[in-house]
Amino acid sequence: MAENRSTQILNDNRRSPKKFPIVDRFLEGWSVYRENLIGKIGLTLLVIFALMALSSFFTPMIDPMYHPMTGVDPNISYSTGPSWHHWLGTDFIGRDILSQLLAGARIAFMVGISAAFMSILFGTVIGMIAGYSGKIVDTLLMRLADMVMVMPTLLVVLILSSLFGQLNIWTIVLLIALFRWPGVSRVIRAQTLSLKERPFIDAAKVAGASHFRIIFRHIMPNVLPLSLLYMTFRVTSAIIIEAALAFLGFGDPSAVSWGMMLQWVWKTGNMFQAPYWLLPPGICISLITLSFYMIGRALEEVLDPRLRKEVAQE
Amino acid sequence: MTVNNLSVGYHTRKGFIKSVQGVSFALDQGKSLGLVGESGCGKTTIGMAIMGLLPDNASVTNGKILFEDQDLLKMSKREIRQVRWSKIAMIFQAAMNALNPVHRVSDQISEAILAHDTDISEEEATKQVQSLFQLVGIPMDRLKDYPHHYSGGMKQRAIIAMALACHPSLIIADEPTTALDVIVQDQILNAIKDFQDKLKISVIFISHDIAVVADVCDNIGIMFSGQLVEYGRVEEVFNLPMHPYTKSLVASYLTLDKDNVQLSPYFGETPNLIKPTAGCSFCQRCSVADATCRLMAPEWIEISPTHKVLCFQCK
Amino acid sequence: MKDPNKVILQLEHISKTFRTRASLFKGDQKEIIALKQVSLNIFKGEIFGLVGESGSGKTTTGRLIVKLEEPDHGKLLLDGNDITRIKGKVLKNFRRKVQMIFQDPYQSLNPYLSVFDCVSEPLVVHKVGNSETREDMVRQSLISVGLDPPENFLYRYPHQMSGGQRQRIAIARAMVLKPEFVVADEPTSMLDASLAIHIFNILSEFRKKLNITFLFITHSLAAARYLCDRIAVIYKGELVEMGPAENIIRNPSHPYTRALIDAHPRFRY
Repeated sequence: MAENRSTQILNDNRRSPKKFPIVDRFLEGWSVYRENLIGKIGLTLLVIFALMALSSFFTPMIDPMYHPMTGVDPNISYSTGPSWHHWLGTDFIGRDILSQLLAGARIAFMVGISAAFMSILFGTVIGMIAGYSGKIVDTLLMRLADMVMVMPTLLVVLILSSLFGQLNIWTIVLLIALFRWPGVSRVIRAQTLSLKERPFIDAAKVAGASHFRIIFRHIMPNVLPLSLLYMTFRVTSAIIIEAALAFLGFGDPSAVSWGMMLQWVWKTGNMFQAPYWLLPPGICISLITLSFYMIGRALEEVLDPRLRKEVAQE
Repeated sequence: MTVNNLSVGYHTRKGFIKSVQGVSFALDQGKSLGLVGESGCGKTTIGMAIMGLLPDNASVTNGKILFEDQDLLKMSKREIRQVRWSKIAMIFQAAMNALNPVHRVSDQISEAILAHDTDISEEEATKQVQSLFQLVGIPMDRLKDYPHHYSGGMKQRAIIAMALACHPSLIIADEPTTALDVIVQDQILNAIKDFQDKLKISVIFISHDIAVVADVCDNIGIMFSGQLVEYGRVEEVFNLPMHPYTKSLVASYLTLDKDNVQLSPYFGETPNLIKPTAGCSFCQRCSVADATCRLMAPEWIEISPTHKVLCFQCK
Repeated sequence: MKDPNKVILQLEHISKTFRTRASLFKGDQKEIIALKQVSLNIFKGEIFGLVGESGSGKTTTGRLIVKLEEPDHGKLLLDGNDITRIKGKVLKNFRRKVQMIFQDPYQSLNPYLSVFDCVSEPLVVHKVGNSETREDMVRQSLISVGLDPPENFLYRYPHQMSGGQRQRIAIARAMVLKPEFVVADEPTSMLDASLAIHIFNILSEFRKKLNITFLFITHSLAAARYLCDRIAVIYKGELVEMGPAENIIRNPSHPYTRALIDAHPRFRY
């Protein structure tokens, strides 16, 4: 076949290529991303939440009373609505809801991102190894993935926490990661299987590269974009799982997450009487998951050049 | 068909790529034209523009495509759809992948026939498919097979049959033999010459291989960097190549008999189609370019009533 | 240059069969006989052409020689040493001497590696040189394939370059370790016809300067005629004819060779 796939080459001679073309790549990706409306909305929302999370570090410094756990306002001993002092009101023992919300943002990010990161790490490595090795190793790993995937995460974590008492937040994160990797690994494995047949992998073999080198230097960069994409989806599920756990009473009591807030509203019977308490965490959970999802969709366009509307074909 | 001063470009993030710049040619009924050039020269874009199949980010900035006294570029989408396939058909590059793997080949072709000609019955359509298969040289016992049972060459022939199904008056063949072996290529080219002869269909043959177009076509248009640089009858262009690019194409072609193959200087960078230079676009690679060539756009010089070349050095 | 007394590569009665898996819809397991008792000798410093159509087994032969596949029967010898079933360190050493240029320049370069990373890969794998000397060696390699000045290309990515440039990078990568034997698998079939002789001349230069032996796999007799000293014609896994390039084309003895010659487009002008 003739060069029917050659894209228009630009004479970039005015600027000799830098030694860190990864910056160039990133900028190119950014310019594609910028044009995607959904991505922009998602990113804006995410930035808002990030600011919320960051500001939670500052509130105890501004006013030591604004501690999400212990900041009990001495003047109030029951749930009150929004006021000048407490912008979103207070919860059932007089703690400021806004500071809880900000702290919850911090937890959401921590939990969401670390759980997602770990599950992607497991999933990608296992997927690559399964896809590349084939035969027995592949079969074993994929059957393991099947078994793990079938187990209902929430239920298992519930059982474990009822067995071992209240779980520390990081244990929860680890558990979420341990149960969520199969989905990613299947996708990465499929990608690896198709990459394995590509001539540049053959070329690496002929050059003498070891299997380890081929997996981590040649296959990994090609699957990483897909992993990152999945990470955004995983963050979503991690946040929801943590919120669900907290809501059901199995979260870490010392970590004020949005789910925990919802649990308190429910437990203290204030569900319908205190909308200022009920609505903020619920809305935040929905919005943050939505924002990650939107970012994921926009990233898809960045990563898959075929989805973009651009370059000339010949 | 007459193409008048056609210019087409693509909008991309990096700028507006002027893929085709001011191309004009005329094609008589029953004759064939070969468009030759390297990748990126715009030849496929012209084919797509004629068929109305340009992608969304492409725009025609100038020109007319006159077919049966109508300007194809001014037609609505519905009108183009009527013209497409029934009057003008296209054979794409690697078209064998265009066959749907879950339907029998004969069904796909009769479907195309029935879609365009609502009057005929299914049996009639099947009979037409049979005669088409005969025309392109596929054995009758392969009619009911699925595409994956066909070899590459047979699939390509099936695609040609599909293109012929609605009796078009013009076929655009874009690199129809590039993915095929030499023996199969020979058969396909013979099939094309055959139906051209029998059915008096005009063909626009797009390729980067000069021997292939020399075999099939009556007229040749050499394209470089979006422009037509030489045009004439096949004997004229190849026996007496005038443009330096044509000369280099002819000189560097590997054959089984000739011995003096010459190397053309090749600088490795394809021309910039977003900001074309002021002078002739071939200057960088040209061995006879001078100051005028670099500053002014070249003009057409007539070598004979049927042979013209776009170059200052060819007087 | 060409040393008729020294055989660098030998194939002795090589046979290879591919088995497709039995599936529910396609019936029994099918066997595709890729190579049937193929034997040939290649002399040091020559450019040997293997001409055949798709499915003839020519690409499989190339892959067997660079050990991407293993033959079912037969022996492979390099410099007289049996390399049919080598593994481990011996295999790695072998890879320094025998390299391959692939057919599709759009797929044979890792899109995530810069040109420098790509071409220096064999150096890194075989622990040749240090970071400074490697950059030099890569530069030299790029210059030798006509990508001069090399600085313009070192940190570009494959998608920023044309097919012809990409193929030259692939050649630079194959040559950076100065191998003894290189298999070139249809290096120009995905490029425009006008680029072919440039690539061929690059290969010729390497043969002249470094006495590298080439196995040139192609479907075009004309290309083989231009570039090769001797040709072998392969059809359905068997060698049907072998000999000096000019002889085979002027006086073909096998009917298949004659069919190939007849089918070749005649450029009458």
